[in-house]
Amino acid sequence: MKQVGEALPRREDGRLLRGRARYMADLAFDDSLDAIVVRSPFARARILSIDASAALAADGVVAVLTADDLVGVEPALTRQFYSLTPAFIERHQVFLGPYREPVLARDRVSRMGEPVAFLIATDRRAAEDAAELVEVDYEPLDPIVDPLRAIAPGSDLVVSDVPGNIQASFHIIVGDPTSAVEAAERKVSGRFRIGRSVGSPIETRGAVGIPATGSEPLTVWSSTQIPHILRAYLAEFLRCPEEDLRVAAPDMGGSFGGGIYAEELLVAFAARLLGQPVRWLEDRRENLANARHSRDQIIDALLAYDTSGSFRALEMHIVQDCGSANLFGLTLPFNIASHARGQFAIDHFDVTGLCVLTNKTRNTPVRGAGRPEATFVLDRLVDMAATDLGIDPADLRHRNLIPAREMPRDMGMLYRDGAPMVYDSGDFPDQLRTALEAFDYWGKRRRQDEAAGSNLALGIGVSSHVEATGLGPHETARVEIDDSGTVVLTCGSNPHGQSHATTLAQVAGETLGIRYDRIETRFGDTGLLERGGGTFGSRSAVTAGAVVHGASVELRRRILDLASEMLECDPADLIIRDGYVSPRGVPGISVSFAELATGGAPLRAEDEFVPPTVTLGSGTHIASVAVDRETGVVNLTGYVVVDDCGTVLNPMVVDGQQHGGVAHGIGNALLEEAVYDEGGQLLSGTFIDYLLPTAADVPDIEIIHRPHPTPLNTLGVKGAGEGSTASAPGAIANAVVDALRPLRIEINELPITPQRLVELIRAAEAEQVEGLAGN
Amino acid sequence: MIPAPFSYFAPDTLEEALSLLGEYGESAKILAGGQSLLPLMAFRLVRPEVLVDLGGIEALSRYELAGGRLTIGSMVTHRTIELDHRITSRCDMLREALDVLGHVAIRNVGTVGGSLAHADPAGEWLAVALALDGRIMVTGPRGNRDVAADGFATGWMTSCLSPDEIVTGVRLDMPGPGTGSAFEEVARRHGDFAVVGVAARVSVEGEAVTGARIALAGAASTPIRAHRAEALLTGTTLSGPDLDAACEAAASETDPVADLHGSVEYKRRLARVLTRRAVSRAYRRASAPA
Ligand SMILES: Cc1cc2nc3c(=O)[nH]c(=O)nc-3n(C[C@H](O)[C@H](O)[C@H](O)COP(=O)(O)OP(=O)(O)OC[C@H]3O[C@@H](n4cnc5c(N)ncnc54)[C@H](O)[C@@H]3O)c2cc1C
Repeated sequence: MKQVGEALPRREDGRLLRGRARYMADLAFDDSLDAIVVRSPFARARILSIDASAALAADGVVAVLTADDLVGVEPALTRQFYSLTPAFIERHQVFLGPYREPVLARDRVSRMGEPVAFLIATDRRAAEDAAELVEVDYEPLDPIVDPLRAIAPGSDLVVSDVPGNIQASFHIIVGDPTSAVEAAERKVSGRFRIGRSVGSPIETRGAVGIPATGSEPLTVWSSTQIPHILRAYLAEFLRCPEEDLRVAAPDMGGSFGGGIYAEELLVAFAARLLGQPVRWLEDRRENLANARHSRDQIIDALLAYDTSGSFRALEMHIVQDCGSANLFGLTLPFNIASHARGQFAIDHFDVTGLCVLTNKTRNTPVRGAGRPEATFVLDRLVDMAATDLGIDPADLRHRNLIPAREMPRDMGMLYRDGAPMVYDSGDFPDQLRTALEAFDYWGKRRRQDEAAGSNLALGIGVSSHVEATGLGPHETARVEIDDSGTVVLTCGSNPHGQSHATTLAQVAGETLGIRYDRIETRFGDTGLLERGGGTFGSRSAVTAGAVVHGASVELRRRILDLASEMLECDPADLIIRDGYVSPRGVPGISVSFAELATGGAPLRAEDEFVPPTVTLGSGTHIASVAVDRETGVVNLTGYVVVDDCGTVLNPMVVDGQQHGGVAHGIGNALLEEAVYDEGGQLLSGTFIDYLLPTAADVPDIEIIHRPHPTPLNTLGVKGAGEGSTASAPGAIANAVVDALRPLRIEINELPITPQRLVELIRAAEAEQVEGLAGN
Repeated sequence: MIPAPFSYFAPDTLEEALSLLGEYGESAKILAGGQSLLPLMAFRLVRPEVLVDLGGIEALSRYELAGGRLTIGSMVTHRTIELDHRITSRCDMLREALDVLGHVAIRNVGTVGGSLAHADPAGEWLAVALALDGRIMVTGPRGNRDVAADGFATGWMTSCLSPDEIVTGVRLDMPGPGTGSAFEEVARRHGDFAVVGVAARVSVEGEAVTGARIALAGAASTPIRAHRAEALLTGTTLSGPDLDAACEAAASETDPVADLHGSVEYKRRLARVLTRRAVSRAYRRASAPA
C-alpha cells in the first residue's frame, strides 16, 4: 500500500484534540515535590549574601539549594553543544573561547533571571510563597547591554576569561572578494538589525527528577528536544555514567529550540539528594525572560554587482549578541554565513562573525537559527540593487539564480559539520517562476496602483531561501514485531509538533506492508533506545526518516526470510499485505506477523543513520501587504509559498510546517521583540508586551510543493521545519518597501513596528520636501 | 504565578458587599470579571487579603435602554452589550469600540463596571463614556452618588472612588437623530489594548456641526476629552482647514506616556490621524438620511 507522499490524517490529533495528551504538568508521581527558581533581578551584580533561613522556616519548605549546596557535582555547564573539526577551525579561522554557565550563581550574576537558588516545597503554592522570603543581598554593577559597546576597547568584561567579550569568531573567504568588490560597477550596502525574539511554545518548559529505585535508574522527564544529549550533560554534571540515568520527554506543547538548561540538571540533583521526585514547572514570565531567546544581530552587508545586474560579491560582518553565556558557539552567525548567498550564484564572498557576550539571557538557535536573518539581509540587498538598476526585483532575481544544471554546486566553504558545503539539489528558477505565476505577480504589479486607497499603499515582496537541513551526527531507530504481531517503532528523535507518529509510521508502514495507523510508536526515551539524536535543525524527517526506512527494510528482509522458510517459498515470490505474508497470487495461503513473531528469534531490526552532511531544502515566498501610510500599520493581504523539501512524506504535515513557519516569520517581521533597557532589565516580560502573531495576523497561505529529492539519503527527503520562517521577514519587508516606493525608504531593522515605519516615512517625506526646496 | 493568599466572599446584596468593604477597608478588593485583577494578583503586583466578588448581586447585572438613555449595571459583561442589536444599531461608536475590546473570551467575562473602575488609560469603556456624556453611578457607606465620566479617572489607573465604594453602573446618552458617532483605534494586534483610540460623536444641522464630543484612550495617563478640538469643530462644516485645526488641537491636548508600542510622538500622531478618521465618519453618519 502506498503511504509515503499521501496526505494521511495525523494520528496525533485524536489524542491532542480530546485532551488526552500528557504534558509535563500532567505527569503525576507519588510524593512529588515542587521546585521554584529564585532568580536574579539584576543584569549584573555581586552576590554579597544569601539568607534562606526565613524561607526554610516557612510552611511546606523542604530545602533551599544554593551554589554552596551543589557538592559532588560540576558547578557549571562548560561543554559546548556542537564540536567542530580541526579542518573546519583552520579553514574558517575559527576562534572559540571558553563557555561557562553556572548551574546556580555563586558570587555574581550576569543576567536578569539567572538562577540563584532552587527552592523545594511540598507544593507549588508553598514554594511561591516561600520564594519571596529568600533574601539575597546584591551589589549591582553597571551592566553591559549593547554588543557594540561590549567589543569597544576598554569595555568591562561579562566574564573574566573572555577578553574583549568576544567568545567566538570566524572568517570565511570564498574566491577573491576584495578584487571582485573593487571591480564591480555598482554596490549597495547597509547596516541591518535583527531584533531579539523568543521562541514561545504554548507549553512552557518543565522537568521532573525521580530518584533511582531498585529497578529504575535516576530518571529525568523533561520537555526537551534532545533526551539523549540531555542525558550526556546530566551524566557530566552528576559525575555518573550515562547508564545510571534515564531521560525521557513526554508530550510537548511546542518547543522551537533551546538546548540544555540548569533547571533540568537541578531537578535530578534535588531528587537524588532528597530521595523524592522533584518537579519544576516554568511559568510564562520565567519563560519569556529565560528560555529560547534568539536572533539579535547587527549585520553590516554589501552586495556588489554589474550594471547588467549580475551579482559579483557579497560581504558581511556579523555581530551576534549571545547574552551572558554561549552554549552554541558560532552556530548562529555561522548559520547566517552558510545561508547568506541563498539561491544566488555569488562567487566571491567574505564574512566575519563575532559572538559577543552581554548581560542578557543566553541566545540559542530558534526555528530558522540564522536562516531568517541571512535571508532578510540578502532579500533586502537584492531589492535595493533592483531599485538602483531600475529593474523589477523578480527579474533581477531570475538573472542571478543558480540554474538547475549547475546542481550539485560546491559553495567553496565548509558547513558546520566539517563537510564541504554543497547545494545537492533543487531548481531555483522553476521555483521562482512557479511562485510568480501562482501569485499572478505581473498582473498584480500592473494593478498595484489602481487598487491602492487614499491612506493605503499596496506592495509586493519576494523572498527566496535555502535551508540546510538534517544535521547529524546520527539518529537511531528500531523496528520490531512484538508477540502480538504489532509492529513497534522506536526512535531517538522525539516530536513536539512535527508529526513523527504519522510520517515515520508511513515510512515504516509502506516498507513493511502494514497501515501506518496500526504501528505503535515510541520516541525520545533513553530507556528504550541506547542512542539517539533529537529533534532540531529540521533534521527529523531526514535523519529519523532515513533510519526508520533503513531499519524497516532490514526487518522486511527478515520477515520474508522467516516466512519463506515457513511457507517454503522463495522470498522474492512473497508479498506482504496488512500484516500477512503470502506467496504472490496465492492470497489463500498466508502467515501473519503474530505467527512469525512467536516463532522464536526476535523479529527486530535496529539501524543508525549517519548523514554524510546536510541536505538543501529551499523555498520562494511572495507576500503582498497594505500599508497605512498615516499609522504605519501593515496588513498582509496575500501569501504564496513554493517549497522544495525533497520527497514529501506527507503533504498535509509539510503544509502545517509551512503555515507555522510563516506565522513565526510574521512574528519576527512585524511583532516579536524582546526589549532590554539600558540597565539590562527585560521590558517585554509578558504577553502584553511580547507580541506573538495570532490567527488575525496570519493571512491565507497558498502552498505549492516542487520537490527535488536529495541524493543524500535513501528517501530523498530534505527538511521542511524552518524554511518558511526564513523567508517571511524578507518577503514582508520587501513588500512594505515596495508599497512605499515613491518615498524610497529602506527597511533595515526587524521587527517593522508601526512606529518605526512611521518614522521612516516621515524622514523620507522630510527629505523629499528638502529636495524640492533645494531644486 | 499563584496569587498571595487571600480570603474570598461572595455577597448576595449590595448592602452585604458594602459592609464587607467597610469591615476590611484597604485590605479588600472588589472582584468583578477578574480579567484585569487576577493577572495582577498572579504576578503578586496586587495582594489583597480579601476579595469581595460582586458576581452574586443580581441587581448589578441588569441594563436598560429607555428614552435615549442606556443604563448598564456594573456587572453586565462587554459581550452582553455587544450582542444586543437594539443597542449597537443605535450607537456605532459602541459597536465599533466593543469589536476591538479584547477578544470574545475576555468580553464574555469582563464587565463594564470593572473596566470603568480599573480606569486603564487605554480602556474603551471610559473613552466611550466620556464621549456619550456618561455618568458613573457609585454607592458607598455615605450613600449613592453620580460622577461625571469626565473627571472620574484621576490618574494612572486610579479614580475618584474610595476603597469602600462600589460602581453600580453607568448611564450613557445614545446618539439621537442628526447625531453620528464612531470609534477608531490602532492596536498592535486585534484585541490588544489600544495604542491610541478615539471616540467621536458629532451632531449636525444642515451641514454645520452643532456639537462634538471627542474622547481619546491611550493618549494620556487617563482617558481624556479633547475639549479644544470639540470647540473648534462646533459651527464648522468640517472643511479641510477646520478639520485640520481640530485634529491638531486634539493632538496637542494629549499627554501620552511612551511604552514599547509607541513613543510620545507616535501616539500624538495617532491622536491626530484617528481623530480625523473618527470625526469624519461620525459627521458622515450624522449627515446621512436616517
Ligand atoms: C488579554 C486581554 C485583553 C484585554 N483587552 C482589553 C481592551 O482592549 N480594552 C479594554 O478596555 N480592556 C481590555 N481588557 C480588560 C478587560 O476589559 C477587563 O474586563 C476590564 O478591564 C476589567 O473588568 P473586569 O470585570 O474583568 O474587572 P476585574 O478585573 O474584576 O477588576 C478590575 C479592577 O476594578 C475593580 N472593580 C471591579 N468592579 C468594580 C466595581 N463595580 N466597583 C468598584 N471597583 C470595581 C477591581 O477591584 C479591580 O481593581 C483585556 C483583558 C485581557 C486579559
